[in-house]
Amino acid sequence: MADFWRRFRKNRLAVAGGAVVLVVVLMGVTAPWIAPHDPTQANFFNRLRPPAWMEGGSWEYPLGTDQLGRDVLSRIMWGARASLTVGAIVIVLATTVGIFFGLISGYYGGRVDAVIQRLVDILLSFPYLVLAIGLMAVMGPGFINMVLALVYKEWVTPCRVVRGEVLAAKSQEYVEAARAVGASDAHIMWREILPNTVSAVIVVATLRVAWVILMEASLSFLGLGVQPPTPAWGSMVAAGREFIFQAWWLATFPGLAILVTVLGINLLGEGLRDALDPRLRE
Amino acid sequence: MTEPVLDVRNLKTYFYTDRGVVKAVDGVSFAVHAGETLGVVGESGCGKSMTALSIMGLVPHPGRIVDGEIRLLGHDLVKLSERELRRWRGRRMAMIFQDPLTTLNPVLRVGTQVTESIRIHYGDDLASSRRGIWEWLEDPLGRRRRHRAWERALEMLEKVGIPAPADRMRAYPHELSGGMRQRIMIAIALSCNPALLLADEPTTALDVTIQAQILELMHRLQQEFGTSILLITHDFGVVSEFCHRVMVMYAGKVVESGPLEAILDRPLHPYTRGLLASIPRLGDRRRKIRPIEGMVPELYDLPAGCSYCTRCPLADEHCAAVEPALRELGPGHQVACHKAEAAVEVGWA
Repeated sequence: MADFWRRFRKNRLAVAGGAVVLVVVLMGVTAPWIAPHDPTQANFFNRLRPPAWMEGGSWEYPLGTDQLGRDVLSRIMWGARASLTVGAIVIVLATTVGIFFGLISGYYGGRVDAVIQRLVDILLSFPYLVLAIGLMAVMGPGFINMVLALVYKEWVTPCRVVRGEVLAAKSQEYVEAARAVGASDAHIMWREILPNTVSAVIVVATLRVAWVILMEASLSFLGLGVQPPTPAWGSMVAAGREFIFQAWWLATFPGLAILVTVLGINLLGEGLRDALDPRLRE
Repeated sequence: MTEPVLDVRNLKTYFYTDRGVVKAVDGVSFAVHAGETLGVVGESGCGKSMTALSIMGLVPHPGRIVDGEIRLLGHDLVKLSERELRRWRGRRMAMIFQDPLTTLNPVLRVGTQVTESIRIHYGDDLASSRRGIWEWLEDPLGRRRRHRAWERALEMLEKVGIPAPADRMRAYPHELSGGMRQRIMIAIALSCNPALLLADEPTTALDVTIQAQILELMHRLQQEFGTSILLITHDFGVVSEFCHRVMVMYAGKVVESGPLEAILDRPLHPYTRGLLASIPRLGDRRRKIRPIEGMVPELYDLPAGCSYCTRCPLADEHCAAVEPALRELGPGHQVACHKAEAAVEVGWA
């Protein structure tokens, strides 16, 4: 563990990415207390106010207001909640499902493996966004449906990764040794092999969170995800699109929030991978 | 004589591959008595490891035991279901593997791995009325059970001579040396006090000085627990120090077996003589090391007669045509060779 920290700290970009993620998470968690305004409170006297540093802007609305006079900064803070919640829930569910099927698939091999992997192949052959849109069209928009639509395909990534790790681990001698003391298949899968896949799973999960956040933004942009008036970065970008020439800040700041968050998570994930991958150890 | 702890009769373990049937173990019979150490010697691929794995019921795919009996404490293991076998593994028979660097799980603490076998087999000996719901009510979180396993593991680590065992229990395998790890493997193997210990080249991967320590340790624990040991090795040095009886295997068959002294002083099979002649001796420069010429034949393409006839200096047409059966030529000393008497007369070893 100390070893892991030492290697992780050496990677400046990863530490920066971790810091960004920490800031975004704190922003989302503490939004009700630190946001200067109510994110859903319309104020028609303050419509389309520019950011504070521009002509006509004021520090009361640091990043300006939207077409309904709502504070953009507050909405971005609250919007972090939607993105992070969707990202976290989808990844937790997808990883759980993926680990389960990946373990079974890799451990038993043969027909079980063939069936699960063909299912994975089929899901992989669909473009992600198209599949998600299709599913949401059938189930209808909304938070829970969006989570389900994303999990529907997202589990294949951890499944593949876990399966690969299991294939590598199950031929190791310690598995044989465990069997020689009378361990059952279930014991070997969950107690012996699974701990060996954890570092790979953590890395993949981290990197995929960024991807899921992008998908959430895309779906919300298309009006299928988080429904107004709940603020979400994707729907803010979509709404701001109409005013791009008069009020560029409406689409730009939530877009930047997406960019910075995704970049931060990716840097963090890459750093974790470099620090956890035993093949890269000195 | 009392019934042996392990009695293997006519064991056949075959592998069904694309290139044909590989007879890895082909009609092997032997017995191991209580507190005895039987050394199994032979080159790589002669079937000695497969014999051990067959006993454990861990023959890898596509191999399978096609015939024979493996009686451990009077029960035929071949007839047991996988479920029943699991309760025997670790409890009544345990195995130590060659490379202690790879047989411990790198991501689990030593303590977890030493207690594993104990936790799996805990309560196996208790009467059924003591188990189940009452036990659960007494110890709902399994805390007492885990504590007992931990205590037992500590005791075992002390027994195998690990300093500061309580600290080692919290360590990860990579923090320990090879010799230390093999001691831990021995502790795991003996933690449930098995009747039979299968040691598959337990010292091959270790330094010579550590080898001696490990052998000494196994010897001491054997005295203490009365465990029977099946020691698989290719090293006659290890055999001569440690075994009571020796069994020499070649191409899946037993070619010679007998008491240690008989095998060392009066080897009857040309292969045994070849093995003994190929050992370098300290301080004797005039004596040439004599390697055995040629290679072990491919196991799916064995000669019709004696499998050793392709490399044997004494072989003739009869050897190539007729397979020699095991014959008893001394007290407990068996050999499978047509030329055993002739070999003694020639005395070329």
